[in-house]
Amino acid sequence: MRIGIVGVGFTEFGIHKEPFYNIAFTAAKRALEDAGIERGEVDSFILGGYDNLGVGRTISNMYTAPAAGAYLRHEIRVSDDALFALPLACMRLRHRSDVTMLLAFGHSSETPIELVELQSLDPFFHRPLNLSLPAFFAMQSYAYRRRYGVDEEKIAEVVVKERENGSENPRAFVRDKVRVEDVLSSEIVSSPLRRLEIAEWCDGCVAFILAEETVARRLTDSPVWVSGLGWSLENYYFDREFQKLPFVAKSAEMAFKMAGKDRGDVEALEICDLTADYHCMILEALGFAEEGRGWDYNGDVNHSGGALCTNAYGSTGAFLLASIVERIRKGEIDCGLVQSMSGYAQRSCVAILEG
Amino acid sequence: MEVKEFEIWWKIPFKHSAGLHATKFFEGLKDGKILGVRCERCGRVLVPPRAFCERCHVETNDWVEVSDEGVVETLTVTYMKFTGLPDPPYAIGVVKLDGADTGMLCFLGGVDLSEWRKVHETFKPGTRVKAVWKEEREGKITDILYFEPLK
Repeated sequence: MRIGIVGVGFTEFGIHKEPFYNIAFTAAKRALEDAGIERGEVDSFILGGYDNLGVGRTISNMYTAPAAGAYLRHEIRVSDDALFALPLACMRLRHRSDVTMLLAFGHSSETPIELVELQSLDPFFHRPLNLSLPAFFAMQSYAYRRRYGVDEEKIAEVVVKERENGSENPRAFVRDKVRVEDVLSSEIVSSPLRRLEIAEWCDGCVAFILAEETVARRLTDSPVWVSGLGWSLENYYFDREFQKLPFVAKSAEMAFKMAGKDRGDVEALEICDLTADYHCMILEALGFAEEGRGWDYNGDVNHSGGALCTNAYGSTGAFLLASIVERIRKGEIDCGLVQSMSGYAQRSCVAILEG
Repeated sequence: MEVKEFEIWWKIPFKHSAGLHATKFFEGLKDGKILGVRCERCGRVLVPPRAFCERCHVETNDWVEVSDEGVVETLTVTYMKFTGLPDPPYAIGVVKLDGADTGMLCFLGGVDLSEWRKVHETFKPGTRVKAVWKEEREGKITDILYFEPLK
């Protein structure tokens, strides 16, 4: 049995003045409209996004249940970047759901996310050292650049390319182009990472309607099939090889195996480049570039502008997924891969989609 | 119409139980000693110590003392001010202590932090460093003030 995406609903990605659940409601309504179905036809609701203090409520993803239309219905949540909710949605569809909604919420504008993420750290050994998310990312960037001798200019060129893509994507949050010299003169946040090399936080929601094969074919002539899924985990102590992302590699292996495909089948990638260095490291871990050469990859990656242009805390992976889905629906590509990661680069999820 | 905003602060007290492994480690710090545990299956010495080896999924109870000297694996100097975090600059690194098989998160210091390139040169990976201890220790990770280059 195949599982297809038959509807997508985006909200604007930016800084919203409405509470996240009202934005989530808009995404849900748009997805239902796009799929051409009523809320009553959805028999299962999967809610993705962080349930931490990012929006100042514990179990915050619970607030998106009524927004999804899940009142008195079957609902379950995944407390992570919302791409991690896709495996659960697919599992649900394999077990007696005909139509499932995946609602992804992302919201960052109400509090300093660095302070929220710091609370995820162990309170004995790590939190007292004030390791902010950008500082951790920077330690990986430094290890990567030094181990492989990657010039700052090469990393800056990644940002330039991402910004060019973002400038042509009306859905992207950051749409201003930059030059290499702009990147290299932007201030150091945490060395060696500069402000323009780090994804900026924003808000935004996306909802998807998924259906099992028979229903999917009835609802649309162009379902986008979820062919492969994989996910994996790094350790929680920081004893790692900092220049590599082995958990990303593992998540990709799992997804390729399930899809029965190889790298050559994938025409486009959307990857969660929370920093320009992660852009390179992810491409390497996914098996699309040699170790230390991710910056040199000139394939079709992050047509959307990637996380570097749109990073809504909790729905970034869903934004990337929706970007691939849209391209498959338009007939631009037949097969695409989406990758997302979360935490202190601790978890990765990969999905392979095809038309 | 201007949308109304409500300013809210969270202040919730916790008493986190450190558990026996972390307690033994922190008691060691009071005496100026850094303790780790050896995994009996993979043989790695884990610092800070933990009750089980996540790679082998076995309990760890073989205690060993490691050195307060080691080598830098990676680092960063933060220059941006984040709400609720200290005033910059401050340097954080991962140091693999002699006798340990895992890196430990720590502060780096004892040098001028104003120019990041110089700091990264001083502490480049492989650089030997030594712990600078607080004089009056209280059994916390911050009893080690920072690691500085070995003279």
